[in-house]
Amino acid sequence: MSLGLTLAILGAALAVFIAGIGSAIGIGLAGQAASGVMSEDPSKFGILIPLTALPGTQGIYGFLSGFLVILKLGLLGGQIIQPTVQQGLQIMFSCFPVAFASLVSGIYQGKVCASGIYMVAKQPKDMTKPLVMGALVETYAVLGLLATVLLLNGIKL
Amino acid sequence: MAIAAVKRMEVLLPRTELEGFVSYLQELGIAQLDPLPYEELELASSPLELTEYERWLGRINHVIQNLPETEPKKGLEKLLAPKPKYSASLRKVLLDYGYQKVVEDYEALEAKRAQLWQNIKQIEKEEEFLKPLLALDAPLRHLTGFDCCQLKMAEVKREDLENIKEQLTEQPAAVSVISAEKNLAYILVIYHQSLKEEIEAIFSGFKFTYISLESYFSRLKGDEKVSDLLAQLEQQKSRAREEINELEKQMTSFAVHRSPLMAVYDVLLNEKQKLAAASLAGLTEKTAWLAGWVPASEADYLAERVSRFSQDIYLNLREPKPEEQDDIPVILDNPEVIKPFEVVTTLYGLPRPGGIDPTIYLAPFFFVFVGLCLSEGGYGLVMALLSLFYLKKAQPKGGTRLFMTLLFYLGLSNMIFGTLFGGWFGFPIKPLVLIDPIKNPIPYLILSLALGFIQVMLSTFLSLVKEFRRGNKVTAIAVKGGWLVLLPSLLFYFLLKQPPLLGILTLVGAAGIVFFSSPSRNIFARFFNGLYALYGITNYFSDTLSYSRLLALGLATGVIAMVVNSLAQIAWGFPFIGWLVAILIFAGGHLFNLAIGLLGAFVHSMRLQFVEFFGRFYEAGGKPFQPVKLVNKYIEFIK
Repeated sequence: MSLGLTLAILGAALAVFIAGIGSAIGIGLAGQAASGVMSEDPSKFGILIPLTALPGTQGIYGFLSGFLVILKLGLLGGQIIQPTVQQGLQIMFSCFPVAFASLVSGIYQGKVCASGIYMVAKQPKDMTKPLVMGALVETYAVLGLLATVLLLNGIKL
Repeated sequence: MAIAAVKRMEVLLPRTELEGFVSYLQELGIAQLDPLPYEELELASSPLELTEYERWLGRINHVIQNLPETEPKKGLEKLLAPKPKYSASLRKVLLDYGYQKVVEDYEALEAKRAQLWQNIKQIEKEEEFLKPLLALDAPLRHLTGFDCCQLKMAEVKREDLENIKEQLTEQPAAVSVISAEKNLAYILVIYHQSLKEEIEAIFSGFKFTYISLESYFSRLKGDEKVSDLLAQLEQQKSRAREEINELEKQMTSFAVHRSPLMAVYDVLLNEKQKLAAASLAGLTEKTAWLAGWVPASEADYLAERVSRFSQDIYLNLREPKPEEQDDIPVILDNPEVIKPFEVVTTLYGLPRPGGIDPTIYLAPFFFVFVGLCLSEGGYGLVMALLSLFYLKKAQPKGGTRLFMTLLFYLGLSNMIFGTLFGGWFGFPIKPLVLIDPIKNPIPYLILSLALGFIQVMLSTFLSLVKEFRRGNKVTAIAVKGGWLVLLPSLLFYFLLKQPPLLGILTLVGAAGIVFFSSPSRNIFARFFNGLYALYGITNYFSDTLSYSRLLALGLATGVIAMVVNSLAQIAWGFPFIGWLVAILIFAGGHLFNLAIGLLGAFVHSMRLQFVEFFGRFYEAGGKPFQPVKLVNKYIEFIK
């Protein structure tokens, strides 16, 4: 296996696991808050689920980018493409925007969602407002994903 | 625009007719009542006494919750079952149902049952007490003691048993063990009266409890032993159990009252609401004054109904005065097709009275955006079918109906845009696909930004309308109009090989912004403030770029759907159960993707409306229209 391919795979791995860390921490924060609220009022489970799941999208963006790299390298069967070292580095760097933007955005979205969950505890009717607040934080993970997709698309193998 | 006109309603009526009239308003359900400035008008306000109603509501609810349903329904059927319907004119009749007696009888049975359970617990305690003494095979009356001898029973620790025996045998006393358990032993001691103190001294060295059967002695009839007592208790217990069964049978027979009680509950609930509404009236000795709001479209109908209801009621419907402007309730009034999108507007907050209702403007964008974000025809079909099924089966009303209809629309949107830009469950329909965002993201990005640019321009235009209506005609046309000229011409100037005409238009727009943004009379201040206003172009730029999320989110659903399919394909190759695993992965994976994707699509499309679109022109802060109407929990009133 060439060094170029190895670097490209490193990029895919970074995108998936760094973004995944962000989501895991984010959902962890939101989930703790949700469980706390449900200890008072278990019937809120249904309306708390979307708020708790919202920081999960960052991990999906990372996974998605990793998958695009896998597709690009032909690792899912068929002819495996052997990129040069430069191309491998290019692919790896292309994965950085989604990885790091998702890491930070996931954690902070978790915090925003956790306080949103406390808000829902007091005002159950306003559940969409904290969702929109969370979406404000998510924007930067979305932009990271966008940059990664466009960069990957631009690299010719 | 699409905010319905509202008329101020003023009603003067005899006090005796107040409750009847409010009850009638409830049935009509078209008028809102407001509190009055009682002190200013020197009117009395009626005191509100609702505790009696609340108590009855609580008691009836308790009975309803505990009664079994006459025809039990399960799961989905229960969830979807529409509420039973009653004619509103039956309200008076339902109050005569005699619910007080039913509830009291039921509660009496419940109290009896609770007492019996209490008794059973008591008996069980007694049994617990007597059981260790079962081995005492002597009639109890022999245990009352003798002339010169004392007879005591005690519970001691098992480990002390030998010790006690040893010490007692040194005295003229007899000790025998009745029974022994793991930790405890029950003993019978017989000793001479004169030894009382010595024996007690010995016992005081150990942990023990005397067992007294004193309370039984008086009840003895003959030669009963402990075993006989236990048998008696067992009998009592089973008798109590039988009685409980009997009571429960009687209680179940109350199930026939369940549906009437449900109706009575709702009637009482409305009676309570009626009193609360009637208490808003201002009172003099003989008359009552009510004030509130009616949608203008219902005004004539109300007038006609009120005159038919009673001749003694004076009703005045008029246009709101300018000083009442802030209190006017807001009713959104949109064509039936657009109505579901009011959900989005309402979430942000109703527009201020006299403001712009954004629903009709955001509707097409929201429709398209959710379609582009999810871009899955198959998921759209699932959403559309599920929401349609719910709408048909459960016949929801009000907000739920609007939301479900919105979901149905969004399903349709996905069927359209999923076919054009995505696929059906991850499988693209190749001949129909316009742009494949995975292979060809740039055109999709341009499409997203173009839609964004159009919406940003629309929001600028609406802000022009808002300024114009406020009377700032010059600012509206020069500044907002300036942006409307500047931005498109600048864009096309660069897109179309820089034709000079567009360049000039750009400068004209910029000039409007530079010279009319600041109200200052100082020409320099005006100029430099204007230049700073021109810097606001970055806002337009970033708002438009924000729409690039449509590409990213659309891509996400599509790729995850593809991943699910390839995983299912790999699983298909497993021996023996491959097909089962593949089906599970396919169904579970797509369901997960649908849930997460829809959440993202919904929330981000909403954000685009709230932040990028509403920012320039929309002012929330209107009060919702809350008419006096029949509310329901268990049943539904029909006219």
